[in-house]
Amino acid sequence: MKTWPWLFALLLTLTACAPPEPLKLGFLAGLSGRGADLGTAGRNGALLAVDAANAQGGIHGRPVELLVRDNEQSAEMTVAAVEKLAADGVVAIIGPLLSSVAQTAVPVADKLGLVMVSPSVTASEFANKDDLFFRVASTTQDNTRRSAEAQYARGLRRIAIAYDLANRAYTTDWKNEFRQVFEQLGGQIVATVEFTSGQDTGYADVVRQLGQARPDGLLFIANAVDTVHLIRQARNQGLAQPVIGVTWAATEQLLELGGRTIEGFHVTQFFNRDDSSPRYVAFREAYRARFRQEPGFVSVAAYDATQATLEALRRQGKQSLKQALLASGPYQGLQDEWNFDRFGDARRRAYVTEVRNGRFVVTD
Amino acid sequence: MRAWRLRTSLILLLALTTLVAAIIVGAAILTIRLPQIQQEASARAKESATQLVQLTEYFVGGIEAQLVPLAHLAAQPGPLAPLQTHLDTLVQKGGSFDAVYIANGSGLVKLVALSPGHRGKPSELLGADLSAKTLYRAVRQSAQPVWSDKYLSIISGELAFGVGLHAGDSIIIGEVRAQRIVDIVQAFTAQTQYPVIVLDSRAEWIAGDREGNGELTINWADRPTIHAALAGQPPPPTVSIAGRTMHPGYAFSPRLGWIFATGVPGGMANPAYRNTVIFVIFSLFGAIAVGLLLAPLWAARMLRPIKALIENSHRIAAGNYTQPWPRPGPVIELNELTDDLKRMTEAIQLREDAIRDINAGLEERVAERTEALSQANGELDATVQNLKATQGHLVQSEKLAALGNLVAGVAHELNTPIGNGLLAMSTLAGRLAEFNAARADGLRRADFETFIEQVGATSDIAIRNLNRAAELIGSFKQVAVDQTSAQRRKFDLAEVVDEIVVMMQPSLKRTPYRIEEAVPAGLVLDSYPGALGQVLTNLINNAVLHGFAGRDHGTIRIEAAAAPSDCVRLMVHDDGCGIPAERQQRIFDPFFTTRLGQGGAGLGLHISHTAVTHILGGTLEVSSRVGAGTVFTLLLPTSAPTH
Repeated sequence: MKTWPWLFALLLTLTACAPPEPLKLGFLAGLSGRGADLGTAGRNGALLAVDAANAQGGIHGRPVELLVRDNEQSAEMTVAAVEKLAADGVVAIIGPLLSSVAQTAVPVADKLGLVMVSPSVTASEFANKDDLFFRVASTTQDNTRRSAEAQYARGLRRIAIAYDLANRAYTTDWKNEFRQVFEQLGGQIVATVEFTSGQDTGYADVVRQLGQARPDGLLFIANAVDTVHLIRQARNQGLAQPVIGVTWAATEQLLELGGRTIEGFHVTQFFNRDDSSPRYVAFREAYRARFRQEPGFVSVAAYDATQATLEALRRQGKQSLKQALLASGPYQGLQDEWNFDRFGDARRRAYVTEVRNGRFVVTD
Repeated sequence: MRAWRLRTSLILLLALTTLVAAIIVGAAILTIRLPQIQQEASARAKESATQLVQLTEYFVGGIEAQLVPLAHLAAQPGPLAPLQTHLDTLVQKGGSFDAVYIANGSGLVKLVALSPGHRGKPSELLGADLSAKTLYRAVRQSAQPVWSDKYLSIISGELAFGVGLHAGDSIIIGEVRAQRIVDIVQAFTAQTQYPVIVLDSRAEWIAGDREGNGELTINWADRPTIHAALAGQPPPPTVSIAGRTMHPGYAFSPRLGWIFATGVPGGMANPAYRNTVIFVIFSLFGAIAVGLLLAPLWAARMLRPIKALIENSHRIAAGNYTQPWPRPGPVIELNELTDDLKRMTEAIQLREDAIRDINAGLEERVAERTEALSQANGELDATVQNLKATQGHLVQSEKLAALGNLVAGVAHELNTPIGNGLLAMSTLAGRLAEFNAARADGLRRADFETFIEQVGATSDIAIRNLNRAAELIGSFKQVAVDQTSAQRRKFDLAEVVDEIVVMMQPSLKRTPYRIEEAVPAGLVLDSYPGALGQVLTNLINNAVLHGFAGRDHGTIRIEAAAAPSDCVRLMVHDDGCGIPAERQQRIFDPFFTTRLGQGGAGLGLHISHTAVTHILGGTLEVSSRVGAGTVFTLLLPTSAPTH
């Protein structure tokens, strides 16, 4: 009786009118292990954008399907995931989220001729290159400049920096850009200490080294977990200086992990959680209803990246997707209108926020 | 309708009966059993999910229980520091926790123990603030132990599940690496018979049967079963997963808030479903096979006695009554039929004998009757011939009588002018004799002039009367020629009608009846004026004799007008007593008269009708109302048919 399902399937194919073949869009991020929260938040944002497009009838009548791949936070899996997505016939990939992953993924995708649109990669090394890699977030350079200026303006002059080598592409970039701008303004970087997240380096040692330089401000270039540990160590060791963080750490988890420890923490980020524009409020409500969580900056960025890609696909015509992406702007993002420059980089508004009563509050 | 052989009918009947019965029973089994199987499958899915939940709960309950003694100790008044050893033992020997820590009432970590090989340093975690943590807040609000969703551990930076419970004012939290619980649950799910997926309360993947690598990467909240589970509704009865029908079921783990969803295969992939369908199909084929095998045998058995009977009746029909009858068989009705046939045959034999006798006598009688009938027939023929001859004579004599009447009329009409002429001429002759006598005596001029005057006046009278006579004779001559000669010519209808009326005037002169003519000039017919005159004469006579009988006044009116399709309509009205409806049918029949014995032979209208239809080629119709009068309508073609 093994033939029954085959017969049934045959009948189905004979009788059913086949729907148009879906347009496949890839999504690449780390969805397991450390950093899974970032990946999930990004995936959720992209899913909402795809759902919105499908609710409007897809792209020229074709439904959009989001093929999500987990790179399991490893370089080999990243390469495999990009190749698998290409084999599955995706038209473009949304992702990756981390600059370190992008270092591996971008050459592979470039070789396969696949456009990648990253929601959150900011490292300057990708800037000003005429390649197939597009970025929705501003480069680190912009964010750093904004952060350095804000810190200088609030009166900080001696800043000590700790940075994580696990995401070196991003963190050294941040460190170097910050130092350059801050020193141009007249400030001084009194110490830089490196550590590797997940390795057996005590946070206490790192903080102690920073403290010895007698800074008037501490800059932690690290993810949310490490940032919380570093802040607490600083407080435990009696360092009461203002603490500054980076976009990478500015997630919802930071608030939950940090509790009262991170009150007064300054962090630059890509979006404004208190935005009350109807567009953003509708997005946030949809996100809550679907995923039972608050959206994070990656959710918003992934939504913008996916929406821009879909818009370009809609207007592609006979152009290449790259040309379409460059030509279809400006794009209406969830919180602002933005566009790619000729290198596929975006300049987005960055928000300097401070943690007050367990919430990010925009200070400028 | 198509006729069947009994054998074919019987086979078809038996086979069809079996098939229909099998189909009905099969359909009944399927309609009753299949939904039951589906319900059973859904129930089994739910049961399977519930068992998994129980297993998982048992497992996490075991982990949770390890914290309970510690919680009792921590709840005692006094410093917490002595508990550090207990914490260390729990983490190092217990084998479940990666980290255990105690936080005070304001959420600050006071004691920490980390599992061996953990890269963090316990001292760095002291003083960490948990007050914003979802788990911490949930434990604060609950008297029961609380399990968290998968979260990013601040201790390990890895994904972990935490369980927290009250220890007096403090709170103890144990963290278990997410993968550890996932692995165990994965092991549980591997042992279940049906596909299982385990999702957390946000519908994110935890464990289960993986088909590709996509499970981890999607959010399941939009799948119908999970959607129903999150909304607290019963699962849909069937879902389609990767093209396969499944009957889903789910259960919640109360501790973890996880959703355990299972699917029992539906449709042909479900053994009970498949077996039922196969059973029904086999029963169906079995029934058909049995029906097809048994039906011919049974039909043959039924047919044998019937065939014998049929042969017998064929022989009876052929007239052979002496034959062996089949022995009584197993079918009562057939035995009865055989007996009846036997009796019937005997009865037929008896009656046939009787009929043969009767037939012999009958033929003689028929011959006698036939002869008598042919004689009578001959007599009748002769009578009919006589009657026809008589009818011909009568018609002829009627015509003669009419001619006689006509001659009498003519004689009377001529009598006056010729009598006047004669009188004038005899007066003139007298005058001449007187004049001659007077001439002998010598004439006076006055006498001479008087004579001349008298001769003039008298000759004038004579000429006028003789002219009148000549005129009449000419007229009669025409009528006579027409009536007797059946001559065809072109004539003006008005003239002919006028002549007839003139001719009829003498006979009406002494009656109070009048004739009015309204025939326009110019209606020219190429026909037989004699026949037409005869008809008119008859109709006028008929009106006078029958219509006006016993009346002191009466008017006959003759009208004519052109009618469509080259015809002329000629109508003869009278305002007499009319003809009752029952007589109108018969007035054109020969010898139909109401005045039998009073001179009417009953042929006038018959002759008219015959003349109109046969000679003039037209029609004659009557319409009449008693007391109001009668109208005879002639419809005549302007050109009569040639004879």
